[in-house]
Amino acid sequence: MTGSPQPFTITEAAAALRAGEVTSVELTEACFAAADRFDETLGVYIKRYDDTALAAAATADAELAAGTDKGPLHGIPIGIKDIIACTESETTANSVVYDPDWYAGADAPVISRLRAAGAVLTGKVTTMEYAIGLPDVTKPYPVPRNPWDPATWPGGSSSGSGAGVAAGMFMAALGTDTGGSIRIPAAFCGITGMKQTYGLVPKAGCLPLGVTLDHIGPMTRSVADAAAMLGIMAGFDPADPSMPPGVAGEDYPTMLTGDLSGMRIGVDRANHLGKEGADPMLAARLDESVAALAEAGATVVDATLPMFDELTQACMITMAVEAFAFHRGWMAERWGDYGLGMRSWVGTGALYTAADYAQAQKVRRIGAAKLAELFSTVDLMAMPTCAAGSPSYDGLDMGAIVGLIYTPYWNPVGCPVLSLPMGLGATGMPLSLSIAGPAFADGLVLQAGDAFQRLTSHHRATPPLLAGVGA
Amino acid sequence: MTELPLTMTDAATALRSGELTSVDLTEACMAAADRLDETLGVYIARYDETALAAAAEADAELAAGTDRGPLHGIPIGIKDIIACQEGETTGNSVVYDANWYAGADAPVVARLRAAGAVITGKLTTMEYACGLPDPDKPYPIPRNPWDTTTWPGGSSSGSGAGVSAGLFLGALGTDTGGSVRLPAAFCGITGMKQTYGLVPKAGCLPLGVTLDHIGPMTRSVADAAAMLTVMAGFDPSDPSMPPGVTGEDYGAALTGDLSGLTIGVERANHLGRPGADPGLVEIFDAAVAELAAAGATIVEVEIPLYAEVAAATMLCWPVEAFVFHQPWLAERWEDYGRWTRAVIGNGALLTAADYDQVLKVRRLGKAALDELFTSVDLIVGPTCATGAISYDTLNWDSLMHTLFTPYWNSVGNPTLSVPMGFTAGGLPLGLQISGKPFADALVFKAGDAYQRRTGHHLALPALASPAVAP
Amino acid sequence: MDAETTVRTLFNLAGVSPPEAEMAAFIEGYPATRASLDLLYAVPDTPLTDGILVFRPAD
Repeated sequence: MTGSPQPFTITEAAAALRAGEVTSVELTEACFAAADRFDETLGVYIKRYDDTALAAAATADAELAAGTDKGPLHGIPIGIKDIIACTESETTANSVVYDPDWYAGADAPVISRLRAAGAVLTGKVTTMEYAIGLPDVTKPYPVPRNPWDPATWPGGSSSGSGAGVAAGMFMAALGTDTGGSIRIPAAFCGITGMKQTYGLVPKAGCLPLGVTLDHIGPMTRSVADAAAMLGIMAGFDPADPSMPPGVAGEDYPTMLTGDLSGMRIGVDRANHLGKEGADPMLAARLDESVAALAEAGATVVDATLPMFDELTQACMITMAVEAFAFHRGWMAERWGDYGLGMRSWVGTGALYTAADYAQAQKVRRIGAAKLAELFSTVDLMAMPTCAAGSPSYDGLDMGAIVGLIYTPYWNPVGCPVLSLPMGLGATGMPLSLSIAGPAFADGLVLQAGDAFQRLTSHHRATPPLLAGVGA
Repeated sequence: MTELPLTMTDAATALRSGELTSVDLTEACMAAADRLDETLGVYIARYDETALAAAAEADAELAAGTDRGPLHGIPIGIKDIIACQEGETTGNSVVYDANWYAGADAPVVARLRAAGAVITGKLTTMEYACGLPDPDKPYPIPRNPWDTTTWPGGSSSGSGAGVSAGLFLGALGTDTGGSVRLPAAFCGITGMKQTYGLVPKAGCLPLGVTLDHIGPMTRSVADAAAMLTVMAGFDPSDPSMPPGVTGEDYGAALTGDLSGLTIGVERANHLGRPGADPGLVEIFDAAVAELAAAGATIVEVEIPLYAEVAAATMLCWPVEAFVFHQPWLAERWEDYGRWTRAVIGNGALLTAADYDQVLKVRRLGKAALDELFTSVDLIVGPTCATGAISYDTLNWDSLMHTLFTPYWNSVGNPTLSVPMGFTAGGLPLGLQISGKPFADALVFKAGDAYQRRTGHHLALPALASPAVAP
Repeated sequence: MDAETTVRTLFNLAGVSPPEAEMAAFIEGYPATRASLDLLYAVPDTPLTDGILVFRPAD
């Protein structure tokens, strides 16, 4: 190591790599050192790819030294949620029940894109089983814990992705989001997470939870980092039938001007404040955040999201049905091999009729139309991601989680939503702001989030666990 | 007055040469309706006054040199599940919302009107495009002009019977499992179910939203091509359309020459069905020979997952129909016709996982078909195993037994039915020609080449002949 | 569960009440519906295929 501090964000690391202040091998070794130190506590990794990661880092260093620059992810250590296929090993979905031959030896298209951009894949990280349920201690998988307080849950289902970024075990991660599985762990772990517009990032090679609700998205320490990742991840791939033909990403990093002049941002307090069990600081943190957006130039108005409860329910019904349809064959044979949390939730998918499911799809269509009307009066919407910070494992169940989260609303409509830290709550745990926009306004959402982070430093706060850990 | 033109194409020529006016043509169609409709049960509502006014306007425009194209001044009937500004849309049902689209045109009707078409009225459909005729309900029983003891097919029953008998020169039908192609086959006319998503469906009462198509029914392929040219293209009110989808000038594709095209003949799933008409194979072989004579290379193919995908269609639409009708079914079960409630009621019996499986099988079937279409340009088979079914034996089973149409709704590919000859009993049989998604022009080209070499589509039922004006 | 219980349960859940004669016809026809579905469940390689229902957020 050169002695300079470990870069905190991808953006800083990219500059340091090019200035010769750090090498990709050093960055990668530092990440593995953090994993050596914390992973027994945090339960982040299912499988580490130390050898291939260090080899990829050395290649990145050689390429950069030779003047081959693959862009902002070149040489950056990134962790992968273990429901997305990588050539290095099988994809387990944190389950005993899986097909080891599925995508064996192949990369999901989104992984190929990261790899082609020079990213260093550090390994496969913990997810809730098939991205749903809760950790089941009777199953042979690590129990993920929150770096801010290991007695609490890091959120999920992208649990390892959230905890690992927060603890410096990689600089970014891929998560997936079907009802909030990127945004909830981002919120609870005090990092940034983006669920971009549905259909913008290819999902082939990702095990499905609810196919019409699933998104693969970036989880990072800053909005600028998420913008850099999304720029590489986005764009049409014929292997994913859910993508609009010809859909393309944009150069998101160039859209981050810091200036929100002329932008109208609606704030939804009606559906998001006053919930039982909410953090006492929630309203104040939201007010401060809204003030920061105004300071950046935005006009802030009150606005109420239409059909909030209906779309939340449509998300849950659709997810259960689609997940059950996927697992039906295995559930018939191997019910008890699934974890209790997963099987008791996915099993409810058997209880809906086709007409119920079709009705949920109709509600999505109606809700999306009403939301589009709202977005004709405001450019973006802002609201808290969750009612409170990370809950204790003590007494945690699906009911408690559903009572805390505001995220499922956005999956049935497919709009882009960014979740970013907005300061600590009364218990000292991170609280989170969500910024949402109309479909394919991903650049605008990132622009607002980045402007917020230019004026605030919540995203630079680190868990107490990391105190005194030098680079 | 000379003999009236049989096709829109001939009528368009006659209108422009001054041999005929749109008012003459419209009046002749109304005269045919006056004479035959009591027997055939084609019309639910006639728009005589507005039709004649539109015809007079078309004549004035053409005389003044304003030419709106091949549909200008042409009488066209509309299946009564598609909204027209002239009157309410009943779906042939006692159970309907009189305020739905009241006073407004569905986008597809607006396009026909803008192209100068003369809208003659609303036509019989099976109730909400699915229930067989129920004599207990206050709607006409449609009959086949080729034999009025037989059913004209459906659900676009009035559209098929009316074109066949000369009550209008073209009609709009809808097709969810074959409802354009079946009556086209039974009535000896041409019917096109174009690619799913090519024609806007707003203002059309749904049956199975992921399977429904509004398509043209005409005497000839050239006429259907002319109608589809006007009907196709994106409309933001229909969420099932691919953004920016456009039609083309389908008439331009009709060269009569099939050189260089490979046509797959599908016997495996289409021939040898018990109860099929004894003449079916011979008539189908003769039709294939004409396609070969027009220049096509003929190969044998077998469609993978045929039975599964056809079953998926018939499982899928009752679910989607049940969702649409559930509030009314809960309150007014017996106001629906007995066949309608019997088939839509089945939609209550699938679980969500079942429906998901249906949708998955559609995806798999489509992928397998796409693969087959890498080796052929078109696929042909018969439209039905038999000619029109007698009312004595008509029930849901006899209907399912004859159909080869439902497969194509699940996959969405363009499929045309053209007349290919007659049974020993004198009832028409249909030939189905299918292409790749959005290869609608190629499908028309093959159908038109066939009709240039054959006269089946110009044969008229005895009760409609001679089609001369007074 | 026998066909009668299933069919009655599903109609009850749907809030629709056909008269008894028609209910009997649904019960009689239900095995054929299940047979069609069995045909579909027997199609290989379906678990990783998503349905034809395409969701487009920009619509």
